[in-house]
Amino acid sequence: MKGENITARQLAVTVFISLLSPFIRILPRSAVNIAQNAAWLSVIPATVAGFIYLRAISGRTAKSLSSRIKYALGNFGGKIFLSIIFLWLLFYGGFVARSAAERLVSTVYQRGGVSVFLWVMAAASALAGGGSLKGLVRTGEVFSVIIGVLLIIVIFASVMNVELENLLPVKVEDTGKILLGSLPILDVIGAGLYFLFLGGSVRSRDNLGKEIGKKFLSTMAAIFGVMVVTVGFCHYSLIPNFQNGFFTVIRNITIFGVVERIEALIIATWILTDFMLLSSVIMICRKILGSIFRSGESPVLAAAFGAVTAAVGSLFPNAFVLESFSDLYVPVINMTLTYILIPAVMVAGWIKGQVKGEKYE
Amino acid sequence: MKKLYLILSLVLVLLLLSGCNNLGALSLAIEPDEISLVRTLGVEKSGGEYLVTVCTASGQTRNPEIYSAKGETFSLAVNNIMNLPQGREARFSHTEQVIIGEKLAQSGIDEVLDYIERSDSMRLDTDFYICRGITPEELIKASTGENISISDSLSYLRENIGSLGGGYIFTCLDFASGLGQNGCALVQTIYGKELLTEGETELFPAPGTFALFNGTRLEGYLTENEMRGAIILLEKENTQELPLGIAEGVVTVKLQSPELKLSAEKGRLIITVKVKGDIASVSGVNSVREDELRERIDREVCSEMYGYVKAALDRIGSSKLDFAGLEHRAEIMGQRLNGTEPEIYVEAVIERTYDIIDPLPENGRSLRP
Repeated sequence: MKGENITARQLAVTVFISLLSPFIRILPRSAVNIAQNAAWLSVIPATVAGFIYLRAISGRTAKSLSSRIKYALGNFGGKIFLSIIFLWLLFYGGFVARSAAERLVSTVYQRGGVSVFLWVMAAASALAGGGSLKGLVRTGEVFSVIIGVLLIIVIFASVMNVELENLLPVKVEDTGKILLGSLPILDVIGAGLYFLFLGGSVRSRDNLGKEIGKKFLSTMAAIFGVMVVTVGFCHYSLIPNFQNGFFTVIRNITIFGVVERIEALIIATWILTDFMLLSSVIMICRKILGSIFRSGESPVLAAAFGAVTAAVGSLFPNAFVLESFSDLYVPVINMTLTYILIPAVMVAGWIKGQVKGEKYE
Repeated sequence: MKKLYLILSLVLVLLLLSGCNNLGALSLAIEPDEISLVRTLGVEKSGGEYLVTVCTASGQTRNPEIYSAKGETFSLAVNNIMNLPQGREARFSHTEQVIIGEKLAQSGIDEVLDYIERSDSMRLDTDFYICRGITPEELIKASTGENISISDSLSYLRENIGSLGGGYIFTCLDFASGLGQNGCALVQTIYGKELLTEGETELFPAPGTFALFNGTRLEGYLTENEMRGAIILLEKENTQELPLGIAEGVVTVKLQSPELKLSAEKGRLIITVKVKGDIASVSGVNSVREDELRERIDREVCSEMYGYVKAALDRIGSSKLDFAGLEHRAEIMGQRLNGTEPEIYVEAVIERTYDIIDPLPENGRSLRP
């Protein structure tokens, strides 16, 4: 298909620029709730486990994930399973759009209404998600430079506010907490699996695993920086009180007493990551639907998907309900799909390939 | 045609989605003259309700203004003050100081602290004060005139706290983190000091000692020596002038922020304080060049510093409130103190730059008229 051939690097960049949106939504709060002041160390086991997981799952992607699922479960079973993933992703898209809108309203545009942000975000993402994949990943490349530069500046500017007494002590007894604290991070990393539905469009697939590994490590280095400056900023017990720990840290940045209150700029820019995630989700939904109905990949459908995500986003009555979904339901469903069901299907496909003497990749 | 659509959509986005006008869907516009920036926020309990008083920033055409409002909760009181007279809106994003009344401090400041922590506009590095002997409303009103406001006075206080005899100005973040870490925390107190200016007596905020909080409730106040000891133990920046009474007269030493080294071994905490300073002025002393006198000055400084640290440690021991976080710091070093009394060592190095301006010859006779 025209405009559908992308490089492995472009896909990898798109995956991790999109994942920065949920990372900042849940971190460091979710990890701190479990690992307390040692939460910053939870990034390390999550990076190791996530690296192995992503390399294992993306290393042999010669086809898109849809074809592999259909091969493993048979045409009918595969379509059923794909339909479940499709429905979940539409809901997840609505959740992402609402979270982004809520963040903008509660932090910068306090006089604004959530609906406006929700529908505009869904419309913009539907346009991007209904366009060419090449256009989307190129946008991701541009945005990744902007977000990357911002992250580096903000992390360095925040280092001055880090107190070692907030990060320490960390004892051997904390190992269990640190490992458990890596679960919310792994939940987000797992969402990277959905992007393999776009894997069929990657030109040279041999180095997809390598590119994903490289981009993953640089993303996790940034996440480690975010965790250190946020947990080191204050006593860990305060972090759950903040609406967003990282943005609270940014609010207190003062550069030589001249530059301050830069959080509005950063929060507004962070919408780029939400836009990338939502657009990618819509694009993935198109691909999955195309795989179920063969010809259902029409760009026009993206507008319908956008409308559905906005409608789903409107269903959350308030920020508290949204937070409970963010803390409980979304991680549980995401992790069940990405760490149990989809990998199990892939293993089943591999076994099927071995039995039939066919190559499963 | 594609370009036309693109231009049309861009124009529609600019017109309808701009936050800077009142025409579009966002309608967020608010003109600068419709905003009053709050610089100082005072809170006290009055008749079972929260009484919030704010002092706004002055501008070229606007004097600082003071407004008060009440509410059953702190949040309600703040909401009630949002809509100011003449259609203006109070903004808390640039709040520099929060002053808590004594009554409220005694009943607990959970609500205020919680509000600041969760607030999307207020910063955590806002200065935090406890007002003694006067309510925040009275102090704010009495020390705000046409040209100078309490906010200006408190900004001046922050810059010159050492020379004004105060301690250290903790922020909301220091306080909240201290509570999280040690279960207790310190806050700088202020009181209304009468000063005669241009023939009139005016009230200004002056620094007192530290207020000690057990959890979010005010437990009591530190003495001056305990306060100085706490500053050393907490390694807070504080330059202070220390007058030393010696046999010949008074030598005033300007001390830099002391360096603190904590080491722990086998449950023993060793506190080593290194203090550097400079002789700022002398009175009744002919010369400060004699070695014997210098040694005496060093010893006096050591003795004073020891006294401060000891006083703070005694207060920690008697109140069982580790406001210096010694247990936590020992834990970082892999030690448990189990209530053992720390050992204190003080080393003082007082510089002699006073010698440069000291016109005295070696024999100690002044050449000055």
